[in-house]
Amino acid sequence: MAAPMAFNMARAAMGGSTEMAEKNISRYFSTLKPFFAVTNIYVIRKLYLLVNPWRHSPWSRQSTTRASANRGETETVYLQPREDINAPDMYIPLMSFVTYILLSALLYGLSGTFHPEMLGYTASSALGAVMFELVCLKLGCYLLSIGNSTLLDLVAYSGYKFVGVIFIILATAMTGSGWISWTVFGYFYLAQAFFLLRSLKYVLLPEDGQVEAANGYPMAPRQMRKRRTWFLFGYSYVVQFIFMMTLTSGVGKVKGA
Amino acid sequence: MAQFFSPPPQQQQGGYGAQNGLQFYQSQYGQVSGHTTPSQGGYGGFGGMGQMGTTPMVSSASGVAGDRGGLRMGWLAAFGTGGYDDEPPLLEELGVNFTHIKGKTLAVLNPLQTVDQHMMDDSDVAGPIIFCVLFGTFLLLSGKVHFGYIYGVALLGSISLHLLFNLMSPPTHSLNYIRSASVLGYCLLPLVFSSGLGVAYPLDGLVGYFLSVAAIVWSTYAASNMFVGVLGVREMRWLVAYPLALFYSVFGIMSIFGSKASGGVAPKL
Repeated sequence: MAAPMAFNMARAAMGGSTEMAEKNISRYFSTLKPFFAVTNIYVIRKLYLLVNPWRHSPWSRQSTTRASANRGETETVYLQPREDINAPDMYIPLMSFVTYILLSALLYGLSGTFHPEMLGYTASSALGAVMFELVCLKLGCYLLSIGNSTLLDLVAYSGYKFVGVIFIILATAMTGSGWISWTVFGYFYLAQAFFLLRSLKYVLLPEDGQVEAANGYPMAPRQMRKRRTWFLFGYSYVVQFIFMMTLTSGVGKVKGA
Repeated sequence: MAQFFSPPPQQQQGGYGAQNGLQFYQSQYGQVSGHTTPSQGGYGGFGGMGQMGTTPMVSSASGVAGDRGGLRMGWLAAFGTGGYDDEPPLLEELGVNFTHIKGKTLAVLNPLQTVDQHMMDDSDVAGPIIFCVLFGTFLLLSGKVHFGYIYGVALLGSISLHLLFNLMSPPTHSLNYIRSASVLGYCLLPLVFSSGLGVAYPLDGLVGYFLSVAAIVWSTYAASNMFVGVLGVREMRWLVAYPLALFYSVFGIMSIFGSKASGGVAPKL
C-alpha cells in the first residue's frame, strides 16, 4: 500500500530534477546561440583577419538598440557575428580545435603506426590545455570583476589561437623543426597577440564609470584600468606564448624521431 | 492433446499462397506488395504467419483458439510470429520499413538528385546501425579490429554534431537527436563501400588515398544536402559541410591506417 505512494513521490522527485536540468540546459543554449549565428562570408573574412590583422581598422563591435523585455525600454545589444566582423563567435574556435586534434592524430599516424587511441590522447591533452586556460581566465575575471557574459567572449577570443596553431603544426610537419617552422610560429604568435590586444581593448577596459573591485568596494577607474591593462598585456603575450608552445611542441617532431 | 498436434499449418499452406504478401503492411506505411523485392517476398512467410492470427479460423481448431482471441495453438505456431487477432504484423510493429530504408539508401547513393525534405521524417536507426556494423566487419576482414572505436566515435561525433547543428540552426527549425543520427548513419554508406574495397586491395597507397577522399567527399555532400534541407540554412552550407567532413574523415583515417592493432603507441608529449 505504501508502494504506489512511494512510487509517486519518486516520480515527482525525478520529474522535478529533470525539469530543472532542462531549464538550465535551455538557458545555456540560449546564451550560446548568438555565438553560432555565422555565415560563410563571415567565416572567410574572419579567417583572413586572423592571419592578417595588421591593417584592420575599426576593431570595436557595433551595437543596435532594440526593444527590451521590459516594456517601454530599449536596450543596446551587440550585433551578431553574421552582421559584424568584429563580433566573436565560437564556430571558428570549436572547428579549429577539432581540426587541430584530428590533424595532430593524423600526423602521428603518418609517422608510424596509427592507433585510434591516439585520437583519445591528443583530444584529452588539448582539452586539458583549454580547460586550464579557462580556469586562468575565470580567475582573472573574478579578480578584476569582469562579468560572466564577458567570460564567454574571452573564451571565444582565446580559441582563435588554434587557427594559428594549425598552420604551425602543418609547417612543422612539412619542413621539420628548423628555422622555417620557428618563423611561422613567431608570425602567428605575434598575429594572435596583436589580434587579442586590439579586440580585447574594447571588451576589458571600460571608458568611464566606477567599477567595483572583487571585495565589493568601488575602485577608482584609473587603477582598475591600469590593472586590466596589465592583465591584457600579460594575457596576450605571456599566456599565449606558453600555450602555443605547449600545443605545438609534441606534434610534428615525431616525424624525425 | 491430439487436437493440438493435428496440423493446422498444413491445412493453411494453401491459405499462405492465397494471402501471402497481399496485406503485409496495413496502416501507416501504405500497401506494399510482396512481389516487388525478393527480401519482402522472403518475409512474406512471416507476414503470412502473422496473418494466421488475423485470418478467420479454420474449423478444426476453432473451438479451442476462438476463446484466446485468435491465438494459434500448436508447437509450430509457437515458433512463428502469429499473435492475437488485432495485432499488426511483426515488422510493422517493430517499425522496420524496408521501402523507406531502400529509398533513403538510394537517396544517399545518388546525391545528384534533389532530396525530398520529408524523407527523413521517418527516422530510424536500424539502417545506420547495420552500416556501422558492416563497416566494422569490413575493417575486421582487412586486419583492423576497431569495433569499439567505431562505436565510440560514431556516438560521440553524432551527439556533438547534433548539438552543433542545433546551436547553428535558426529558431524556426529544430532537430531531434534520432533524426540527425539517422542521417549521419545513412550517409556513411560510401565509406562502407571504400572499406569493402579495402578488404581486397590495401588502401594505404596513392589509389587508396584517392578512393577514400572521394568516399569522404561523397558522404559529406550527401549529408550536408540533407542537413541544409532540413534546417533551411543555405547561407551556412559550407559551415555545415566542414564538421561533417571532419566526422567522416575520422572513419576514413580508421579505414586507411591502423592495421595490426596490437597495443598502443604512446606519443611523446
